[in-house]
Amino acid sequence: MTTADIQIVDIESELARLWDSRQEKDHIKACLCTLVVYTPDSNHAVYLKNIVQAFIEKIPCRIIFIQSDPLRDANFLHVSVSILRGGKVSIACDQIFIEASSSQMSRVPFILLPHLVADLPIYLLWGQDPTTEGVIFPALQAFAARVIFDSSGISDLPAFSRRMCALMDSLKNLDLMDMNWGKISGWRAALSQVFDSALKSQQLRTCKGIQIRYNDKNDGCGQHSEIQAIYLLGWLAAQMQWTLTGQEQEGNRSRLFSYTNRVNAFTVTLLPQTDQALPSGALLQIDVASADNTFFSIAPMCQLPKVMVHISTLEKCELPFTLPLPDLKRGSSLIKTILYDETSEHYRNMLQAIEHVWPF
Amino acid sequence: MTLPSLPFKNPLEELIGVSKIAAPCVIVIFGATGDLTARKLFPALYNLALDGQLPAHFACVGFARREKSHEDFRQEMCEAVSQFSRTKPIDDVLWQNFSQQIFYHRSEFDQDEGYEQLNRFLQELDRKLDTKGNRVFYLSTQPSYFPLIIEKLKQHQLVYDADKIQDKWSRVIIEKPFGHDVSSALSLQKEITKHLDESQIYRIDHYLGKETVQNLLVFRFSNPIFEAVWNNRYVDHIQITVAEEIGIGSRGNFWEEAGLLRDIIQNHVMQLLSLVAMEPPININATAIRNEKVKVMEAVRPLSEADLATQVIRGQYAAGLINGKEACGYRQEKNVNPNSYVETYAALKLYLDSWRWAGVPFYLRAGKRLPKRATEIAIFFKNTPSFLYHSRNKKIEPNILVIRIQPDEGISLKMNCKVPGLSQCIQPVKMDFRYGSYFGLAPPEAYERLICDCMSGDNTLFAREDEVMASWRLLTPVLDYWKAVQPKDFPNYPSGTWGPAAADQLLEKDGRHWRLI
Repeated sequence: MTTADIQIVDIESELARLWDSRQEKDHIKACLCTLVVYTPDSNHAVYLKNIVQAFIEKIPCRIIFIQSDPLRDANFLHVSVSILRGGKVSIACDQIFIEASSSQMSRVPFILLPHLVADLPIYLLWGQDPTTEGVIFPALQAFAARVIFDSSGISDLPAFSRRMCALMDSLKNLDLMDMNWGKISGWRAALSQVFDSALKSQQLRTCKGIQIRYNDKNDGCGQHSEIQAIYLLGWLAAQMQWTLTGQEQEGNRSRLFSYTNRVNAFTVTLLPQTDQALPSGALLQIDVASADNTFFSIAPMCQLPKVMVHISTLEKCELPFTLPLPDLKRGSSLIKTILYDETSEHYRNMLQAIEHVWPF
Repeated sequence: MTLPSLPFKNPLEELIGVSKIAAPCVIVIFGATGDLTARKLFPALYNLALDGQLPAHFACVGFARREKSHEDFRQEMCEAVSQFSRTKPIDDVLWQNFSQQIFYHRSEFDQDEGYEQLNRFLQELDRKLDTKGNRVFYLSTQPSYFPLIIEKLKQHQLVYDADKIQDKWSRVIIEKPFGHDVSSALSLQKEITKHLDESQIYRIDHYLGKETVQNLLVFRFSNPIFEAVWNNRYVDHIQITVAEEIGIGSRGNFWEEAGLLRDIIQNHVMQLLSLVAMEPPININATAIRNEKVKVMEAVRPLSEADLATQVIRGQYAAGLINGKEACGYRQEKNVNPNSYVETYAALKLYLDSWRWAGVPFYLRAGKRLPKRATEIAIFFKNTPSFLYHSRNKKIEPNILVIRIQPDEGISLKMNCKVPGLSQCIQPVKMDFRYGSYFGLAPPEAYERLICDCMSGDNTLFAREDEVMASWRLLTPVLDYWKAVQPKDFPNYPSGTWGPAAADQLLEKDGRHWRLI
């Protein structure tokens, strides 16, 4: 149930009125934290609302949803409140929705400050690069326990990489979770298990070629679908200590990256492929060809939270095996990833490795 | 001179916040056609598969006496999971994939050829599914079969010598009860340790897998405000209750041999006691935690002859009403001797002779056919020393911290507040945290956690040999006393009531009373 636009001063009383109304009596009000969501893009808001819904089914909380639209010239500030229901269970949460024009954004920190729930964590779900938002983020970072942000909209990766590293240095007490980094956590764990011996690690390090296929489905949010693929590549390059020597882009948007591993030069190709059944940006397959002609192919299994791994040489094929790949559409995996998983030094290493990737 | 090579360090491995990853293995369930397998074990395995927690290379083999094909067994387990899984409906795609890892092996428990065939079959699974020779044997059978099965497993090299074989492992999960008194427990321990190292033995007590029981340690040791008052300076007494509204069901044969003390007090209640009374461990490894739990068991003051008569109460339910429906008495249940003296209720008053708990009574009770199902730990704090708010007629209520293990899992704190208004009226109120309200969907079932832990080699949540022996040493004298002295008043509580009057008197003579749940 949602109110029409209300006065800022009436936020708490309107929420109380909604709770007291007949429709809400069957639901339990619960709150474990405050989740402040921000997006400057109304298209992206739909995507973030889906994340919010998945979030509250596991972690009921007060939502403060802030949407701005820098492209609109109009001067406006609208506030409304609603009760969000946590799916099948009878748990419901407050939502305060703030829509503001660029000129009014400076008022938003003052509006939301009294409505942050005391004593409980404050999480920021940021629909853009947090290093570029200079009004709300600086005001909230002192209170926030964690910033979860979506890097899909970032065009200039090198600049983002430098800014993010600087932010991590300056905000040592604030956890940062890049959702695209979280989305490839299952792939990183799978690759770690595939190349889990000295021999296989060496085969990866001195490979002669890698192909990473990713889903370039257009989801209408204007996001860069190759981000996860680039993150994975950057992570491999950082951990395997490869050096980027060149890059080019082919007509069909395939991107080729040339690396050297001090033994040989090799190419990593990012190949777009469209799969309507999977989210935009999802990794579809990773193929590694080692210098000694061992071929590794890792691809997700249809409708199962697993990847299938095929390892073969020119003479023989090993029996394929599966590894878990958490389904981030399922609530508990998503929540664990964005709320509880720590961001390791590998993330910083990856950021440094992609510092020289061309902007989109 | 060649230098020893350094162990391989995987550069792709991130060592932060790592969930336990179970190693490739085969689980063989002995007694696979039994109730536990259908109601608990397979639903647990299915949910582990659903959450991606099963190892990539995995198989499960049901071992039982009945004739059955792999497909028959898979179909039966599919029906069981559909009925008993905490997540419904069953995911067809996942089940189709998972069921290909389920197999059935028919044999008698004493048949050598059966074990030979099992060994060959498991080796074939190792080749096909790359389960690397790792084995978990779940003994979901009558305890009397444990020594036989373990002996056969060792004889046929299905369990390995832990000292000699390093590249693969074997573990045995044993269901409670572990023995029926101290000498049978010692005897059983002696039998199985002929063939197994203690590190290979996983004594399951499913209470330890419950989220709320695991939360006991987190609650105690990550909230200094409570740990500061968790001692005899502030605590008046502690009540631990395990109440069931169901009767013994169709388990008359078992119950006539076991009784409630063996079925619930010796294991579940003693585990709760040790978790609530233990000192902080030096770290959260299995050994450190279990060391502290054993110390609690060893600190319990043994019951003297006089204590057995006055501090231990037993009961047996008579006919009554449960949820408005008539319920028969214990002696009218199927397969129960109509003159049986087996107890379906027990209450004890114990003391721990430790610095922390000296002088604090622990009141423990458990029973069947009580008014409701509830397991909880209630910590009663001492009242205020001064009488600022005590009136002539009314005392201030003590603070009570209640940890609800099941159902309605959560924690509540009863405290006193002033009633708004001009007078000085005091009203007790409750601060209440409920798992269901805050964390939404149902947490993993206990067996999911325990099976996953066993596959990962973590035995924190399994009972250690010395823990088990300590609780048998404490309770065997009670069993001996009860055997020697027949109760004169059985049955002594109607179904649907909170137990015999003598249990109330146990506390009333100390000026206390059981918390109404």
